[in-house]
Amino acid sequence: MAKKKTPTKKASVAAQRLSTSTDDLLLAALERGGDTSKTGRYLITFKEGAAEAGLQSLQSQKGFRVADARDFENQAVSFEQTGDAEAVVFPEIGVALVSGEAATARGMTAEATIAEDSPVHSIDPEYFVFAAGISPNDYLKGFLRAAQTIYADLGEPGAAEQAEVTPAVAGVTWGLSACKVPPSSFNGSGIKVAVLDTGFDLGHPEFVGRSFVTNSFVGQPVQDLHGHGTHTTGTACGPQAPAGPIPRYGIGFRTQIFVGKVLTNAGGGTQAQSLAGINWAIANRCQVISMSLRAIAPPQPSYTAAGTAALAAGCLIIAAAGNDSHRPGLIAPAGAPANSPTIMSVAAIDSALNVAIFSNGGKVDIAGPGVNVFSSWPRPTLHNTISGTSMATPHVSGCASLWAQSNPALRGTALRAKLIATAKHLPFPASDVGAGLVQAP
Amino acid sequence: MAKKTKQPMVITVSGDRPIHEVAHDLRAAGLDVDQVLEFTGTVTGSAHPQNAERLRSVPGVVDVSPDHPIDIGPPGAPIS
Repeated sequence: MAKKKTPTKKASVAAQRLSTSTDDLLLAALERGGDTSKTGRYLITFKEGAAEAGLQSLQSQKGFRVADARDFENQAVSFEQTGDAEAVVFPEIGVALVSGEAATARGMTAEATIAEDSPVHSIDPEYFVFAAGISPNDYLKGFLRAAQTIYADLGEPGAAEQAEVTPAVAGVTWGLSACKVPPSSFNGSGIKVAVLDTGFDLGHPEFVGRSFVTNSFVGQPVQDLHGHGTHTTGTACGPQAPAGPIPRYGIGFRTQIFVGKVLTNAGGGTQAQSLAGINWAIANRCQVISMSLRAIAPPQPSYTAAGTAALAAGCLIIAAAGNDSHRPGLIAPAGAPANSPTIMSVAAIDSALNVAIFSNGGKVDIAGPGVNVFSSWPRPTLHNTISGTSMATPHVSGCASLWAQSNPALRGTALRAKLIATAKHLPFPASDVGAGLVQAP
Repeated sequence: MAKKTKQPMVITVSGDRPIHEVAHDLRAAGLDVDQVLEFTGTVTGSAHPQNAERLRSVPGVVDVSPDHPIDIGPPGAPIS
């Protein structure tokens, strides 16, 4: 990974290169001012099947110095090793990343008109990517909170009160309240929920006495050293009444929890590991399979087939649409596996029931609370408030466990249909929120 | 720059043939089989990219795709 460097005036010059570190790109963006969500580089998407023609045109017609992803082991491009290349082509996905300077010099910007016979489909600015589960908003809120705490420490009265961001209402999180979970008479008893994520803090005091079945697919112990998996599992399956002044954050509090670790403690994994997790969850007949993860990829036949197999076995896979949007300017398409037709795709909404700015669109089936979501976190922290379609997904999975308990006929396709039929309508396009906000029975 | 080597692949099977038979044939066609996932109908492993067509021609194979990595970012990192 790129090393942190001291800010220098050279940052904006360095940003012209593809080998520039993310830190330097950010410094350059901050130096430029204005829209700091963009890196200054461009992504060229080629028309379907035109990646080779695109590569040729960049090289011979436009005179770019081009690096090809196929020249790297496993096509794992190391940007530090791209040297003086002005463009990196990824033939598998039909996309090229070009440096801002090189693109501008050749008139290839997002505003440029594209000739009809060109292999190029579109030219778009590249955006900085925020970790799933954390939206840029939260980052700013965290910063504000820190600033207010310092301010309060300096002795200014009233500052601490302003730091309050999302108070829990009546002992329950806003998300559970919005999904009508508290009045539900169901608890997920008899339902197996598989959460395929970074694992779980198996010693979390609020899960003492719960039934766990665990398996790791990534060569690390199931114990979650990341936090993401403990948070998503907490929302789907957490306790009804945590001790002390902690609001209720869990939905299916009597579910049997299947923890499938398919992402490492660093937050990474492969499609093969995800599929192994799905395979395990189907073999165990988990009625609900929750996947707060996504790869930026078109619909994958392997995931679509896995979704079909799951439905046939009475299991429903529910997956995060992804956090790659920057609304209203950019609405990124749902990633894999959520974009497979046999898998339920979940968008995120905030406490005002508006679409979260980061929430992906297109193939969306339903929405869940995904901004400022309070849930469990590995010891010693115990709780954390984060955002993302990763957080919206377990709200749908938890409600699915309640519906599955309410009627043994609600399995697979029938369970999916019930979730859609009972969702609360929202005044937004189906491509943003699907059928609407998930509701508990 | 590194040379082209075997790359991780995800193979989807149709279910018309027993998956272990398909896996056997895939092995003969150049796939280093890693997992045979009966419930999802998937065989994973690695192969040279130029062998992809041979793998596709194995009876019972529906799709051969490169593995797509998943990354949710490191814990607590605001930007990654």
